[in-house]
Amino acid sequence: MNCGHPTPDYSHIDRDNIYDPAEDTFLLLDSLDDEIKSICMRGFPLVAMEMGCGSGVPLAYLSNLLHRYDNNSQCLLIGVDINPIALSATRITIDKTLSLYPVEMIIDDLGISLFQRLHGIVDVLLFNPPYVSSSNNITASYESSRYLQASWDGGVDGREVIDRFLPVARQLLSSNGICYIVLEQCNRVTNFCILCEQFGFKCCVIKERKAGIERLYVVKLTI
Amino acid sequence: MTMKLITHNMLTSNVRAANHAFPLRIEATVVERRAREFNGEFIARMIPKLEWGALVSAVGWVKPLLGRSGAGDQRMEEGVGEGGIAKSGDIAESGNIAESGDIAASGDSGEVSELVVPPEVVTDYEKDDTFLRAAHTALLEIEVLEGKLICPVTGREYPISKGIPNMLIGEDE
Repeated sequence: MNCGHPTPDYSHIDRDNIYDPAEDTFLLLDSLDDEIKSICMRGFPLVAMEMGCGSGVPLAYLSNLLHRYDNNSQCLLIGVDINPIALSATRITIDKTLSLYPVEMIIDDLGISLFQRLHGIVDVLLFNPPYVSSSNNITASYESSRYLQASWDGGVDGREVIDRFLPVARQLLSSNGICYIVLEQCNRVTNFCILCEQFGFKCCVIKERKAGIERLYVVKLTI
Repeated sequence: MTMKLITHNMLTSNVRAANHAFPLRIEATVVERRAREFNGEFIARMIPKLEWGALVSAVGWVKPLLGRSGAGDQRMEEGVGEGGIAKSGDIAESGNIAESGDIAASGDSGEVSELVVPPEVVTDYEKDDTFLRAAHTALLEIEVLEGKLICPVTGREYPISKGIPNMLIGEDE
């Protein structure tokens, strides 16, 4: 159910190095449309983070939704990515929305540098991970840049990065916080949800959509 | 634009040997002051999440690079001295947070009143507008554009470029 809010302008992104928003991105935006009220009813988020922010479109869209929901409150937006080109682009994407929120960008692998200090502080955590299943034998002979490959290549069952993310998410998420993750069928969603529960999350699939050859899911995690 | 000191307050050293060492020392070469709209409720909600001592240290590390008046958008680079303000090289060696007040006082007293960080969080800070505004200035209005963050345990340097800190480490670290 898309309320029809405009997609943030991401025309400036370098598509050779940054994942070009696609159906998975838009499914996440649609989820945020549906969820914004639930998110804010738990208390206006103090900190919202997108892990692997890429183009910054989901984080920017969340910023828009938060502004629309309550224009007097403020939220700290944090973008984390291993790709500095993505972070520069994310900042521009958010700037173009005229967001008034403080925005911070950090080059890091799954936000490990924030792990300790942001323990239990992140109220909204977004992750559209590299979820494509690939053999570990894919090497640099592949034509796309290493950044672009890192944006989609999830290794075995597409789960390698997602599974590393789970303990980080568990650490970062506040008691009222919500984490949204995009998955694809190859990630063995049921198995993933069991793993989430083992990490102490409550887990539910809030969206499912067929997009070309992919079947996409958005999973919602709370503590 | 960015890295703000609110972010510095959240970063720990990634190298294994450092065991999440905090805070990282800031050696900045380009620091900018950029006014932002004050939201007291946001600042009040943030206060309990902060390590206040680290914020005081951070202000001390970057303050020498801020402009004489400290007001509005000011961009100062290392080595550009003005009047009685000590050179940043001297400041970096002092290492003593308590001295930051003294160092600033040797310069323009007008600057001191623009960027004064209380040494501790006051009681009833939620209602203390002066305190919240001082916190806001320190947390959100100072931007480190270029420089580095240094692990206090290992000395490992994390570069800051165009306001973005790079916390990536090698597999062997």
